[in-house]
Amino acid sequence: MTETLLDVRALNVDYVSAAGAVRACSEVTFQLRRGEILGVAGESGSGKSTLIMALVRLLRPPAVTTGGEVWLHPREGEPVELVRRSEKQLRALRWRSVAVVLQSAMDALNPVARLSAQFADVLKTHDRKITKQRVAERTAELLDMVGISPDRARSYPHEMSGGMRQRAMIALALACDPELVVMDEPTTAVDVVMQRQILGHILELRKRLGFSVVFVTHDLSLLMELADRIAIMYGGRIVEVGDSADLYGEPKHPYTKGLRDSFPPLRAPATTLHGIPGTPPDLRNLPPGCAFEPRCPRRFADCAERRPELLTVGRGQVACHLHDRERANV
Amino acid sequence: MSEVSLLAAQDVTKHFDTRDGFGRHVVVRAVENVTLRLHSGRIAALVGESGSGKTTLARLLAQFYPVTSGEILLRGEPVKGAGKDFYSDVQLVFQDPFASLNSLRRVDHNLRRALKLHGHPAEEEHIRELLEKVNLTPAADFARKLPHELSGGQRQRVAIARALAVRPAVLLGDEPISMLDVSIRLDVLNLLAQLRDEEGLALLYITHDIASARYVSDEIYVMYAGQMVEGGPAESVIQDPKHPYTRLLVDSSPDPGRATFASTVPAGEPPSLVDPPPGCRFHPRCPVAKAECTAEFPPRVDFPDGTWTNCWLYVEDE
Repeated sequence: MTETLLDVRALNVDYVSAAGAVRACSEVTFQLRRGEILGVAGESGSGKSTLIMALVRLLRPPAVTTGGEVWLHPREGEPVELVRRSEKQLRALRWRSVAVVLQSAMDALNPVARLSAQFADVLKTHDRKITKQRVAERTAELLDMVGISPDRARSYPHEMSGGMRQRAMIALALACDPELVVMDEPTTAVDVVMQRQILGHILELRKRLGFSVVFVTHDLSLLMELADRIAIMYGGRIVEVGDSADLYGEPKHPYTKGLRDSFPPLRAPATTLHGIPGTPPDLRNLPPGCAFEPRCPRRFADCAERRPELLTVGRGQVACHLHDRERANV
Repeated sequence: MSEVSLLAAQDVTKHFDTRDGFGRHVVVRAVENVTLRLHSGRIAALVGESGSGKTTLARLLAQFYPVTSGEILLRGEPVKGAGKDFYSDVQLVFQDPFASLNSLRRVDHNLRRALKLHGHPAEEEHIRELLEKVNLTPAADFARKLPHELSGGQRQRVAIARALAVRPAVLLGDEPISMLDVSIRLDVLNLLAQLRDEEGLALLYITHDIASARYVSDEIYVMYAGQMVEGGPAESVIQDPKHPYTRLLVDSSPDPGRATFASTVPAGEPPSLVDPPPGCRFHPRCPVAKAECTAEFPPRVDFPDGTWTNCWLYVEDE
């Protein structure tokens, strides 16, 4: 049995407004194993980015975590619950245990500081006695890991290409050897060739350093290649979790199947595909039953009335009434 | 090709004069000696990375700015200026359907304006007809909506309906689906295919997503750093790429059908277009570059499967 690194239990996130709260993440529950890459896929408004920000406690008002627990099991010491920790207590974990890579490296990097200064900042936060020479060595080493020439440490962010900035962000995230790296669409703003280079670096470094990744994207076809397991989000809930190969080969939730078939294949024989009819749900006005019911090709009476729970079916988990009977037989 | 193309760029070059960070005059060589032809009843996809010149080429085709050299041909005739006549033949659909519609006016107003400007009858039935053409039904309901009441996919359909209002022969789509939600992209691609088949439109589909290019297009053109490097029937270009850059692009694209993650992509990025490498601009990244590649841009070589490429790799095989 592989060790669990992150245990998320019934996490709720609300966007609070004068007109009432809108729930962006509902009862999100999953486990991340040590050394695993978990992909989180969903369309805009599915709650995937909100989930990520809640995990690392970077939500800003009006978004508020209103319930649930996030347990981190570090290599050393006792398990830590993240939702209730103070900002000061969290600071001890940031960079060292948990690091974040966001979509826009231009916004995440300091535009008026050289890369070397930004690496020094992070390295010093967690080892105040580190020498200048050691900082320089470590910076060069980190940049080299993502294929950036060490003399680039003297560059400002605007002097680098988008792909290089994104790789620098990844190097920075790995500066303190974290156990968990959370990535929110890290390759959406770069071209496919650069995307492949960056993902290659992530996979190779994961093998070498052994960190776990939660990787959020709307690009399910990319996750199928990259992730060990994938969680599919719809309307603020996880509707299916499973091994990438299972999810691609035999998706259990009709939404997963629809999403998979929304990506035309590159090599498989070309057929006419249809995507998913209708539009993603409005979180302010979710149907009482399954959120996917209005668009579902296989809906029946139950679906509009009762919301399906996320329950274990076979090797994965799915929230769909189609599998009720299968489950009853287990 | 013997048949006359509807809209074509013939040996087109576009250089932009601009200033660098220090105020010095520089020339951005955005598009270099590029030829592309659009035929009625066919979709041509133009693929490449950002900065490859795809959008510049589309804007040259649309007469947004003049060419530096070369010609834009409409039905074989050089285009003289961009008047209403030209735009009643050639229409554009942009990437962002949130920015391309008048957000203060209802859908029917957005469409009626295009009809009236081009001298077409603009009664309710004509608007209904347009909305039905882009599968927005019931049309009467959609006609009364404001753009913000529509989803991204529906808005893009309205933008396409507005382009169709002038009854064009050519539709240029610049990344028309890249801002839409994944599950509704195919619907818009299927709509483009339907317009090709039922209306006989000539379509240009600009994208960086080659899987979608393969899905919808008849031909694929590949650009790199302002140069056209390969073209031909879509399936041949994807399954048997000739140019090393096309191969890199195909190998880099996500493919869930692939057995293992292919991470053997060489390092490197597209060059600056202010000071591009001489000859073939891909040569600094090319795994099979030769001496010729740095000297001169290669001539076109045609293949039996209908594809062609500009690459020195194939020139001596002639």
